[in-house]
Amino acid sequence: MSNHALLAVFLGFLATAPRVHATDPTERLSKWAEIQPSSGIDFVHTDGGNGNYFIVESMTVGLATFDYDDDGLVDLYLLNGSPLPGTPVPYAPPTNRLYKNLGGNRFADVTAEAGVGDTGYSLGVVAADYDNDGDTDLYVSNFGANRFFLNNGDGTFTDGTAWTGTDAGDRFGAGVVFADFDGDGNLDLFAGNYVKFRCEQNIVRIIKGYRFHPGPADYPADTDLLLINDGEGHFRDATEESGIGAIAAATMGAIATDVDNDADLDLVVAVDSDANLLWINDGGVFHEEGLLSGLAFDGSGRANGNMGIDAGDVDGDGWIDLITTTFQDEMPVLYRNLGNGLFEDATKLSRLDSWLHPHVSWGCVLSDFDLDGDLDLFIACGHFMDNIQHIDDRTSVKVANLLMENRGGRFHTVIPDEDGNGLAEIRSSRGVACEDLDGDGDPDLVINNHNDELSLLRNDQTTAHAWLRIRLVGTMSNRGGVGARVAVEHAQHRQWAEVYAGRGYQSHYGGEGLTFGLGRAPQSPLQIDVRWPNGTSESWRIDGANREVVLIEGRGIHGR
Amino acid sequence: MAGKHRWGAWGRILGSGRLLITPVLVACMTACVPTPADRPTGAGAQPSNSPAPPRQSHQQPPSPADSSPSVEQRRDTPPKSGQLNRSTSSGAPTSAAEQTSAHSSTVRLPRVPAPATKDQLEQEAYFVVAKLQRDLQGHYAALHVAALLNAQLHKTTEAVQLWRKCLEAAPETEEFYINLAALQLDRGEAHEAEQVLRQAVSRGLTSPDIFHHLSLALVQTGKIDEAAELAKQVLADHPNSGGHWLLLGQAQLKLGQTKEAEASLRKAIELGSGGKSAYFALFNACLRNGNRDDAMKYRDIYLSFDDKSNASSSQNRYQALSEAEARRVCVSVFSEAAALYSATNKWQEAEHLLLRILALEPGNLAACQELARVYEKLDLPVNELVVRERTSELDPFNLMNYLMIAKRAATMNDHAKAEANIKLAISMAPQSIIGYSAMADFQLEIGAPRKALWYVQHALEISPSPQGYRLLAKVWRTLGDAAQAEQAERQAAQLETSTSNN
Repeated sequence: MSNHALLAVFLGFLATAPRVHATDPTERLSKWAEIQPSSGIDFVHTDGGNGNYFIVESMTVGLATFDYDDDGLVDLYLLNGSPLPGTPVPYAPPTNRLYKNLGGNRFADVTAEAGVGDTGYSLGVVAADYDNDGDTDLYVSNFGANRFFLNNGDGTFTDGTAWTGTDAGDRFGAGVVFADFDGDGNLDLFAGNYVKFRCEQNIVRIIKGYRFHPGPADYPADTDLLLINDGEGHFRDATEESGIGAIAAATMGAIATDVDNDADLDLVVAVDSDANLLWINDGGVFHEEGLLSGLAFDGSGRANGNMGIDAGDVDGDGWIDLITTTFQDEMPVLYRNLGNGLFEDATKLSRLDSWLHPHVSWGCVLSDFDLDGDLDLFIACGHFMDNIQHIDDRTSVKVANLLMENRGGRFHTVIPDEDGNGLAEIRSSRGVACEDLDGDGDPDLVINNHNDELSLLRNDQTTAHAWLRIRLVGTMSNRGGVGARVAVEHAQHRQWAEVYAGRGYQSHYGGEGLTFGLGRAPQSPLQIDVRWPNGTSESWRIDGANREVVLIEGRGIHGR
Repeated sequence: MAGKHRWGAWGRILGSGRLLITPVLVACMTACVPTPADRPTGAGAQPSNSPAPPRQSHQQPPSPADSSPSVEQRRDTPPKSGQLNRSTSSGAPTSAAEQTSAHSSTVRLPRVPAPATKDQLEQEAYFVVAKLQRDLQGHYAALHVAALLNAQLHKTTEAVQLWRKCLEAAPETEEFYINLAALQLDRGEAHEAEQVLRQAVSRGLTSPDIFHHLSLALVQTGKIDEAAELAKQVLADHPNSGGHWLLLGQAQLKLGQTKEAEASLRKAIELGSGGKSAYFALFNACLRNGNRDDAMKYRDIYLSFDDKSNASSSQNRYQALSEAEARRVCVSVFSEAAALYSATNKWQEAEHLLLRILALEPGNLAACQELARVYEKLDLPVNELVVRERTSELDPFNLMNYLMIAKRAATMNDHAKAEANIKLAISMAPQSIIGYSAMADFQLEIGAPRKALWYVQHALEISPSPQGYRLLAKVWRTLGDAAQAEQAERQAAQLETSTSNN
């Protein structure tokens, strides 16, 4: 092992060591197997850098999980960088890669035949059936023009960027979101932008002789875009008329969720080093209420370097809560929805592990990993400044990720199992996706690591907990049911979830079905209530768990 | 959470406050570090966990053996009466005192900060710390200074180890627990910080400061209700502690006790703990209580705070020191080191560091005050006068500065200067009897009892006191009026009796 590698391991150990002293550690949920080496996935992310420390290198990178060929198995779309000025362009330039899930934890690279090998500098991604034709399309946010890959329904895609009018200009893209903001049954597109930057404007920070990437304050913030789907496959720029264009901010992650339970989708934008934005949807026109709602800052009134964002009902009260990941010296923030238009910073009350404080955190996933009926939390960590250890010994580029188990609204840090445990990996992680890749019911994890191989963590818990997966098919609403809210109740325990397209750290996951953990197998029928994106509601009672059901708007249940 | 760590008088750590509790360390130093004469000095006799008077060890004049090597002590002899007023200075004097005493003073104080780069300052700070450890033979107080430097430069692993060593050597020193815990909180080790502070409490260290930090650690570990209870306990004994009201209010807000939170936060602000986070919390509490008008008012105050502390600047994103911050680090480290050198009678080192502080920050009041004390200890009145003049310029509305100048001028038989400064002190605080009493004393000493009579009578008109009447009696006796003196003594006794009866 080289000296450099030894140093990295040592620093990683330092950063990871305090976890065993977490306030409320748990050994539950500790069994995760790293299956990437045997999966057939050979993807290695590159940031395209060469020592020039372009700011874009520090913004990588998301990923998407979706069933591109509608075979019932969730596939992986992994974003990649591209050579930046000064970096030699290899004979085969790096591209984004699509891996088809073959089942049995095996994947095949189908990038070329599918036609989604974008060679741009990709940062964010979202997938949804934007044209309601029954297959899932793919939108990629780049440093440079964005790309819209239209699914042909036969395992291939067509670059429809120009046709749809969605290249979004030559900008510095970030998180992207599909949602039906105007309630017409068609998915509109929110495309976040970070700052106004060109490589020729590069600024390099030199501290103690070491080089560092610049930060968002070094460049002007950019405005985001709102593109309205006309139902004919084209998009119209509604940035200004919607109000979204009124604020320029260094956008990173974004998510469309109904924060006020008024049956339309609001938009929450995680902003780097400034106030988060809460765009309240008022019939397709938005007004910003971040500060008044309590989402703009953390509980101390501090503007964090917000990175990723996810949503879910953490405390089971029927209101969607939010989590944002943050920069170094800031805790990720859990915003508890109080139900009256207000959120509170519940980070400490919920006992998120203070170990996170010195580290940079990125991807975040709220998911019921142990299927016990509440949402656990996974957070991906790692600094982007490869010289950080020279000016601050509390963190490093490669840092362990953190999984926390939810018990009654309080989180307990999962201590990794010692036996070759995937959770104990120390890398520089960014975007995270969560899907049941092996069809065993429990959610697995996919982690895009900066300048590194993918992490593919198979959930190997043996809880014997039951589960139910609900897949929505809209008929009057958008076909994927994006924006629908689903409640599942059994044994007087009710859970809520929403269908998202675009979440986490500039990533997409969970669009192929909502997984509900049921704990012990239910002895009585399950009550399912769906509020479709168009505001109509339907209810069902079903028997049996550990299966997927497909709920078709206005037509009923189909088993799968 | 606001005010999350304690801030030292001269020190600052990026992102969090830190603590420089030199007086206690100085007391420990004087107890434990052999002086050149191999004898402990005054304050060290007391246990380190007893409250040590600030700078107590400085007030004991060093023995001839202690004071070596001397700082030109013998050459700085007081001038004869009237000499200062008659003298004219050559060169470019930088203060009034220097104008009158430049020929005999061996100190000049800068007015413009000396240039230095971040790297130079950091290197210099490490040099001073290394030398301090050598000079103090690795004493834990020197380790504390090293820890302080490392913590401020984000070498936190080293700082943690050093403070642990400090605790092993001096487990009764509260400041080490607080420092260590504060650093652990910065490292995200809230659980460890809580344990360290509980150790302190188990050793009987139960100051409001310890409890404040313990409350902070409890908040970080999610034990909000326990933190709130602890804050309430402290407030029962210290109801005017704004920091604890703020902590309580923020904890109550987290617990959903919004009415109580609003009241606590208002109290915190009323008591002066009205930082940005206090107004933000009060804005939220009012909003949650449906008090929208007040919420908007406090929101506006919150937003009016300097935005630099809100949005992350391009610099603080890196946790790297700016040049100004590097200066503050040096100042804090040099201050600590100077205090320790003073405590061990290494006066030349102390003087050198205090002068360096003033070169980096010419307006550093604390360094000026400390340097004046050093010269007082060394019986270098001309130097002391120069520094006290500067002190009065930096802190012009503090009458004590003028009285100290007057005292030193009087000992140098510069009566005019002494009287002028006491008059200035009186004019700064005309309703305080301190200046009048000082003037009466002074006039008596220089043989002007008639003048003394006017001042003591004026003091008694403002605030009658037994001490005042005794001074009046002394004045009447000096004037040869035994009857008036007797009358004043009787009034003093009556006043004492009525005071004791009340």
